[in-house]
Amino acid sequence: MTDFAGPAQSWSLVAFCSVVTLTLLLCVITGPDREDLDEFYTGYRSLSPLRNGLAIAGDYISAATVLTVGGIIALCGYDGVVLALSTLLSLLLLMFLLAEPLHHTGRFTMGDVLAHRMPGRAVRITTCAVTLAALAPMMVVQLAGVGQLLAFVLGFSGGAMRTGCIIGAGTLMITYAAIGGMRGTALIQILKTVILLGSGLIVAALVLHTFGWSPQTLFTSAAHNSGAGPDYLRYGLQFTGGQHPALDMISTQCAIVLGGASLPHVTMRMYTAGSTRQVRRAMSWAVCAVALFIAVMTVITVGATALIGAKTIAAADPRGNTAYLLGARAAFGTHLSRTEGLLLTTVTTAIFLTLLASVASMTLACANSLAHDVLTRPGTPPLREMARARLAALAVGTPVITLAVLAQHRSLQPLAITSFCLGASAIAPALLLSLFWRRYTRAGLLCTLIGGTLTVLILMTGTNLVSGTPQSAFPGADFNWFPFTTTALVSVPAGFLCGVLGTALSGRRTGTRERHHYETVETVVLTGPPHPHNG
Amino acid sequence: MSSDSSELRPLPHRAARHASAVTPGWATGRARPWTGPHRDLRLLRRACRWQRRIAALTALGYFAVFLTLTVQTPSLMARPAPGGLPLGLFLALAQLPVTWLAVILYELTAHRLVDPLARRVRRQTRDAQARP
Repeated sequence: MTDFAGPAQSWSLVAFCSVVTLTLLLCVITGPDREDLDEFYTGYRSLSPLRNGLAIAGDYISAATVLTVGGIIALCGYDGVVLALSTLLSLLLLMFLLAEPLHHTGRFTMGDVLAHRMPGRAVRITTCAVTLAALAPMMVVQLAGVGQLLAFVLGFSGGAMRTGCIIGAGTLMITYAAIGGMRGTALIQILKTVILLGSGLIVAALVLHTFGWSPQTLFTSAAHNSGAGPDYLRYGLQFTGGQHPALDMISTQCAIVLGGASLPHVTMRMYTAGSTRQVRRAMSWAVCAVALFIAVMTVITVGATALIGAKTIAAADPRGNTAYLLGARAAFGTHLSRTEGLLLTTVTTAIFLTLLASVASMTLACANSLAHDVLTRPGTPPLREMARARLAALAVGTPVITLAVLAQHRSLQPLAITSFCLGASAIAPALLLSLFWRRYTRAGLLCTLIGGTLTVLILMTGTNLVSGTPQSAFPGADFNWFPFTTTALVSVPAGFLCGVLGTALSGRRTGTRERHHYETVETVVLTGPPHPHNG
Repeated sequence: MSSDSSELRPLPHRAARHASAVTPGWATGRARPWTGPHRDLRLLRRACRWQRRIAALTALGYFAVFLTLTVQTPSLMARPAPGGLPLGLFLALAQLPVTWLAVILYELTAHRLVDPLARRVRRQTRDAQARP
C-alpha cells in the first residue's frame, strides 16, 4: 500500500516529463521579450492581484514546508499542526506589517529597500551576502529533496540515479530563472499552486469521506494508529528528546513566525504588484490560499497516520517526509481505477512541481540580488545588467547543485532551520527597524545584518540538529553545546540588540541626522513613490 | 510597531536649502499646522500606525496566548472542546477561519481609513513637486 509500483510509476514518469516540457515552454513564451530591466525583474507589475497572490502563495509553500511540516504533522500530531499554523501566521504578519512599505520603497530587490533609506555600497553588498546565506541552505534542502522524491515515486534506489536527478533538476531551475525572469517563475508558481490546491482538496475530501466527514473520528483514529495514544493530540511529541521542550518549541515557532515570510524569495513578490491596493489584495489571496493549503495538508497527513499508521510512515522515511504522498496513496485505497491513478499522479506531479518551482524562485531571488546589488553600479546599461543577472543564476546554481549532491545523504533539517533563523534574526530585524525606526543608522543596519547572521551561524553548529542525536546531520560526533533545535531564542534578540547598539554607538548627531532624513523618506514609506515605478 | 514619537515631541521644521529665508509661523513651533500637507501626513501616519499595531498585535497576541497555554497548562488544553476534539487542537484549527476573517477586516479598514488619506498625501506631494 505504500509503494508506487506498476502503472502509477509509469504515469508519474510521463507526467513529470510533460511538466518539465510545459514549464520550460511557459518560461520561453512569457520570458522578457525586450531588453528592459523592469520587465525582467518585475514583469512590468502587470499581474492581476489574484495571479500575484497565487504566485506569492506558490513561493511561500515551498517543498520543505509540504514535506517536512507534513511529516511532523503525521508523526507528532499536535506539534506539527502548531508548526503549520506559525507558517500561516508568518505570512499574515508580512501582510500586516511589511507588504505595503516594502512595495513602496523597493524596486527590484531587498537591497533597494534598505538602500532607499541608507544608500551605499556596503549596505547593498551586505544585503546580498545575507540573501545568499539565507537562501542557499534552503535551495540545497529542496534540491536534495528532488532526489529523494523521485527515488521514492519512481522506485529506484541507485545513488547515481539520485545524483543525476539532482543535477537535472538543478539545471532546470537555473534555466527557469535565467530565461523566465520574474514573469516566467510567477507563471510556474501559479500553475503549481493551482495543481497543488486542486489535487489536495480532492484528496482531503476523500480522506474526510473515509472518516464520515467527522474531524473527531479522523483525529481519534490517527491518535490510535500513531502509537502514542492521546499524546498525539497534545503538545510535546516533537521535542521529547531535548532538555527544555517548552523553550525549544517556543524558539522554533519564533524562528518560523519571524523568518518564514521575510525570506527574500517571498518579499521579492511584493515589488511585482502595481499599486498599494493591488499588493494588499494579492496578499489577501495569498494568505487565504496558504490557509486553505494548511487545512488540506493537515487532513491528508493526519489521514495518512489514521489510515496506514505511524510505523509505516516512519519506515518509508524516518522523518515522515513522504507522509503527504502516502496519505494521498492511502486515500485512494489499494485498487486504483484509471481516474484514481490519474489523480494520484496529479498529486505527485504537484509535489514535483513544488520542488522545481520553489528552487527556481530562490535562484531568481539570489541571482537578482547578486546582479542588481553587487555586480552593477548606477549607469550600467540594462542589457549588461540582464546578462549579468542570467550569469548570476548560473553562478548561484552551480555551487548549490554541488552542495546538494554532497549533502543528499545527511539530515538536511539543520539547513532548513538555518534559513528560517537567518530570516528571523537578520532580515526581519533589518527590515522592521529600517522601515519604522527613525533613528536607525547605517552602522546599526550593518550591525543587525552581520551580527544576526554571525550569531545564527555560530550557534547553529552547537544545536542538537547538527550533532549529538541519531537523527542529526553528524550522528557520529557530539559537539552539542547549545541544547536547542533552533537558535531563534538567542539570535532574534541578538539581531535586534545589534541594531540598537550599532545605532547608539554611531552617536547622537548621526541619530538626529537620520531622523531628519527619515522625514523625507517617510512619505514614500507611507504612500509609495510619487511617480509609479517606471524604468 | 513603529517607534516613532514625533507627535509627542514635534521636531522643529528645517528649511531646505532652496527655501525662502523667512521661516513660516507654523514651522517655528508657535502655531501647529492644523491644515495642509503636514496635517494630512500626520493623520496618515497615525492611521497606518494604529492599523499595523492593532492587526499585528492581535494576530501575534492570539498565537502567543495559545502557545503559552499549550506549554504551561497542557491539562487544560487536553480537555474536550465542543465537537469532541481536545481544546488545544480546537483552538489551533479555529485559527484558520479566524485568519480569513482577519484578512477581510484588514482590507476593509485599510480601504475605509487609510487609502483616502494616502491618496490625498500622494496628490499633495505630486502637486508640490509639479510646482516650480
